[in-house]
Amino acid sequence: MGFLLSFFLRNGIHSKRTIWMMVLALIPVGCALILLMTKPFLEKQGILLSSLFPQVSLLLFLHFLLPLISLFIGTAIIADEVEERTLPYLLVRPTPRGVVILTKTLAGIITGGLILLTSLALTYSALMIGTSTSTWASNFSRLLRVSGVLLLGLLVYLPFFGFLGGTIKHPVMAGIFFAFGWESTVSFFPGNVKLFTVVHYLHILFPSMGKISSVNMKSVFLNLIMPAKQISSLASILILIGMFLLFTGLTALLLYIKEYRLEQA
Amino acid sequence: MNIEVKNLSKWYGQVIGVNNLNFNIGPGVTGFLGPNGAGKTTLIRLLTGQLKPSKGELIIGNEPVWNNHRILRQIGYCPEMDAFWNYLTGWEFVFSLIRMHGFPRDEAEERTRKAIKTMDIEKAQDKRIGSYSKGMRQRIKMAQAIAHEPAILFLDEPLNGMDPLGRRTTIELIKDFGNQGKIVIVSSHVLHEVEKMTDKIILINHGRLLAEGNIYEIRRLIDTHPLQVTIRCDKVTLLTAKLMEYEDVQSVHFDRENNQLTVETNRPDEFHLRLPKIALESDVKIYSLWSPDENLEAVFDYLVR
Repeated sequence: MGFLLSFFLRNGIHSKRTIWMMVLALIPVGCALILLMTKPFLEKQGILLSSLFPQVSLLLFLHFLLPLISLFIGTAIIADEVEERTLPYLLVRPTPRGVVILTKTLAGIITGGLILLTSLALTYSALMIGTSTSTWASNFSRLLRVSGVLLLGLLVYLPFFGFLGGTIKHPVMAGIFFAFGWESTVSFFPGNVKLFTVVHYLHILFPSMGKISSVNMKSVFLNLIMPAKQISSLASILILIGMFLLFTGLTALLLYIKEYRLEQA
Repeated sequence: MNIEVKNLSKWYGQVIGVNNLNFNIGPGVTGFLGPNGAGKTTLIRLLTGQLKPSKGELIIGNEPVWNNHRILRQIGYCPEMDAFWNYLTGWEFVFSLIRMHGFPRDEAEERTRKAIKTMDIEKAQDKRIGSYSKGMRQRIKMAQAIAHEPAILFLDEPLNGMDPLGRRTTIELIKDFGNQGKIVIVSSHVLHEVEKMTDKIILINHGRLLAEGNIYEIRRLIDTHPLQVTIRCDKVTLLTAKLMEYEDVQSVHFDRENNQLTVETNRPDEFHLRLPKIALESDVKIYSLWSPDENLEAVFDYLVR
């Protein structure tokens, strides 16, 4: 399995999708740099640049980059090998198909995690430039927690999109609808329907947005998407791990039961 | 070990891939012969466990093939498709697939080296497959199929794109595998290629088994099939007259504008032996010669008529 993991990691590095993801990951960094350039203006308004990290990490990472990177990698878990017609080389080996899927998913989580966390660290650094060591340190625990939530999110979204990629013809379109349609819209719904989203459990684990009020950034939008805590953090983690196991299992099962009829050359 | 195929059918929706096949294959080389689209690749994908039978049974050594890792461990497969992880070098490609077969690093290295040497691709082993010629890609595909020394080897159109030397080496290699008592299945749409490897063939067309057995029987039938030969030369009228003197020549149509004639003969072998002699004696320069219906499809149409 160790060799298989390194093989798929290398595959990921050479994939065009990875380059696109790296470009996408520069968006939050770019935004942070723009904010940095407007620092004097923001300070005149009484807004500290370092205090914007919670909002930036929520909107640009949890709601934008995380689902997008998961979508790019997840839909490629099976689809890439089908499109490149390399799947037969893997299927005629005695390696169990479930192991192939699990390893590909793990490689995707590592690649996606590295891209996501590097972007987060760079964004954090850009927003913390010129702040005192104590501000840097006090925000660092938030950075660690956000990193953990993003990794958990990747753990669930990636196999989910992997399952989509192995089952339907246009997984990217369906994935975009899910990530930016269902996940975002249902978060606004009252009642329990939001329990059927992944992002709901990630919101529960996300560091509190308490600092928003201190910089007068309280917005209706942020209040709406941050739900009241109905279930505990531990329960959320367990549910997210359960989802990871379910979607990884379903994706692995696909390779056992579904045939992939590759077009002949 | 034997391969048993019982009432095997595979369909995709309304499209039939293979239809009610029954045969047994034992050790040695067996050729799957049929025109493009006959169902050879579907059959090989079924036999290698990539596809699940819609109906019937597929048994190798008393075990079903689908999702059976004990069987997969004994299989070597060279796909027809020209598909690779192009960033890998030839060495990395073979080594990676052998490692996936479960061999430890040292043994995988040794097997990779041996397979690459057997396929005579050592000079290109450190170049990326993306830069390989078609012939080299065929060789590296063969290398990954044989590196783990499988008991059963499935080769789907293995000679496609190979240069004459590569073809000869590969044909010899396939025969060697057969002589070692392994089961080797080679698919091809080129009769004379299969003929050089084995005398055991399974003829397939439109997903159905047309004939099974000795290639020479089939060859005899094919040799009596009237063959059309189109010749482009400088003296069309003279060559037409000369050819018409022979009994086996059924008809000659000539096209003076394009300097070509089309001959129909019912003894193709004799005709091909005779033609150079006539051309020399009559001082006729032949620019080109081809048989519009020499492809296997025409022969199959003839056989099933």
